Amino acid sequence: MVRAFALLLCFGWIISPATAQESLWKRTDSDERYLHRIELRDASGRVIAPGSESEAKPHLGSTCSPCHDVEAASGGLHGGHGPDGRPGEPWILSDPRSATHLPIHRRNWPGILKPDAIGLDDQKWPEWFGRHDTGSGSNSDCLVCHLGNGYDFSTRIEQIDGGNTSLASFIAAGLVDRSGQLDTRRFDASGKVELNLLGDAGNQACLRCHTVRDVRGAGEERWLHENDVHLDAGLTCVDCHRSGIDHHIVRGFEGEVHPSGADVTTLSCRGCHLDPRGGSHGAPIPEHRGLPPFHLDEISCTACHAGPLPGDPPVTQWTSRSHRLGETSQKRIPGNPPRIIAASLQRDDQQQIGPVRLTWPDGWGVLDSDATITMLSPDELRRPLRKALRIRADLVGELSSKLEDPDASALLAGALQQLQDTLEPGKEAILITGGRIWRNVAGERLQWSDSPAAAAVSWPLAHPVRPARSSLGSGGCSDCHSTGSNWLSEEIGAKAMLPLQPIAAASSPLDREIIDPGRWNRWSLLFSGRDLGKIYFSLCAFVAISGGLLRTWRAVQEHKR
Amino acid sequence: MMEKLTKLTILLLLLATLSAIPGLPLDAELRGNWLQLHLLFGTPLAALLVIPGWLRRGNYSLSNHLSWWLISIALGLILIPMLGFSSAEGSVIWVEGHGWVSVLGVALLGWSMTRKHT
Repeated sequence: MVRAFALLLCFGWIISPATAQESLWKRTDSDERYLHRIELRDASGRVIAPGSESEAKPHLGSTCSPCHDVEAASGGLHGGHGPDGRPGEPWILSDPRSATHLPIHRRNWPGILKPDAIGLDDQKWPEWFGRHDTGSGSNSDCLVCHLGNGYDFSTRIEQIDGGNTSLASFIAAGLVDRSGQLDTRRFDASGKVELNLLGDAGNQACLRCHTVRDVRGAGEERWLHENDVHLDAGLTCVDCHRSGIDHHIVRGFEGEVHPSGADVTTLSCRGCHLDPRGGSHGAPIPEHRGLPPFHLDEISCTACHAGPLPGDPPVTQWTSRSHRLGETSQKRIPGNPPRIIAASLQRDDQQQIGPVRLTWPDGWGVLDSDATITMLSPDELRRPLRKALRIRADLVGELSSKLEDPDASALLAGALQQLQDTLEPGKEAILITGGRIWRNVAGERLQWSDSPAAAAVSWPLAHPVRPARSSLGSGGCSDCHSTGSNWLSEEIGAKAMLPLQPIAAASSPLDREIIDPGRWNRWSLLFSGRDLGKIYFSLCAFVAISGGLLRTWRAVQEHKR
Repeated sequence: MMEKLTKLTILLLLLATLSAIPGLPLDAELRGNWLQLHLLFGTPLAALLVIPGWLRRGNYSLSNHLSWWLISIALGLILIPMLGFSSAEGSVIWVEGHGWVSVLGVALLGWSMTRKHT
């Protein structure tokens, strides 16, 4: 009996996943940071001796895999796997030659194209987005996120754009020179290289791909911008956006269901600041004095602490992934597409009002007889657009200088006709811009119609987070509830790539009725007398209570007699 | 005149009570159009509450006086969150207190008036 029990225990030990993990991957289990003094390996796992005659090139997956579960680490939410979740920032395929700016993502998010819808397979994806995509599978770049210092992101972009995806990370880290040879000065006598690899390599590692910058105009200085209050307080991105080796990085929104099944409630704003289980890093509990509590149900934390302040006009923003931030460039100027606007307000899937960034798709497509729209890739557009419009590199720039008519309709109709000639019968070439689709119906003029394919794409805005003193409402209820507040009435609309009339009308959150406009306007009127109301009610209450107390006291005395 | 004002006060009290019904479930909150209606009736009512304490003459029962006093206290309770003396979460207690004390006052007023008539 005892023997059978021992056998059962042994069997359990063999199949236990935790034990299997222990047997495969090395760990120090110490809070101390492990100093990585390691050998580089080629794709087949063989150690590369620096200075040898070998032509073998280092491979990150093979170099890291002796100690780390690279397969698991290269997946997860960060690697594009796991559930879709709420919408996030899409990749934007930008091609100036065809004036194409299409929001794309592997996830199923509203209004976002899937890569295969435009012919982007695993080979083509890195050509467009490899510069800011840490990759997935064996081609993941671990160093871009985990190397604590000495990673030259600009060089990485340059190398990937040049087609050198396999060595880009090593060149950026200074381990390999631009000719592809190992830099022997980095290796010690035993052929090992010392790398400051960290689980959390600091905010700079995240900000390479997740920077967002306001673009208000040429005169706007960067030093005037406020940083996120959490980063200024000394927290790092990873303090909230955590993950295990599976790289299912917590996104941090309320109601998030983590793929691991772990409870991540306390890693959201509300969870950390209001949930009794929260309070990580000494997070203050906000009192929100004077705020009727239903506001906390109705609007997200970011609506007041990260979204637009009343009076601030919507601002154009650059993001790392859409505007190639991190690349040294003299060509990045305000007005560069894609146009991303922050912020408008929308209700999310939990019906909370929160701020979002918006962008509108621009591009050329094909309308089928069953009314489905298929967008054309820049490769498919190159020849017909060059033939019709004589474009060399920048459709908008080159046509704007040629344009004599205040309306580009005739010019673009010609381009659509050229595209039409390449299509099968029953299909129609269309242009998407300005929040509308345009068809060449009359031969030389465009006819517009509305379509979900041309509508704005939005995703929630969460950072930078402002502290309480500069949040919406810090100036009182009238920050939002006043006839002069533009919190819900700020209009944002699409812009066409070239002058076209009429583009889709700009609309405000109130136009879209995220709140009953009648009720909202009545509140705004009511709040104009709020301070006076406080005095009035206080006086009434004081006089009524004291009078009532006196009368009741007298009545008690009479009752006793 | 005073009698007419007292009747108006009672009418406004009833309307304010009725407009507060959508906020009755304990986890719900009076909001939106109903809150605006409640404020519409409550604003003149606040001024008229001065009458039973200071201006009304006549022989009224202890329960009648007590009921008006409770309703006045209910007005005072809602001022705590309104003036920002409580946190958003803490204000739930004051708002509910306003509701329950008002209900108690209205019920006592109804009982005292019924007793007077019988």
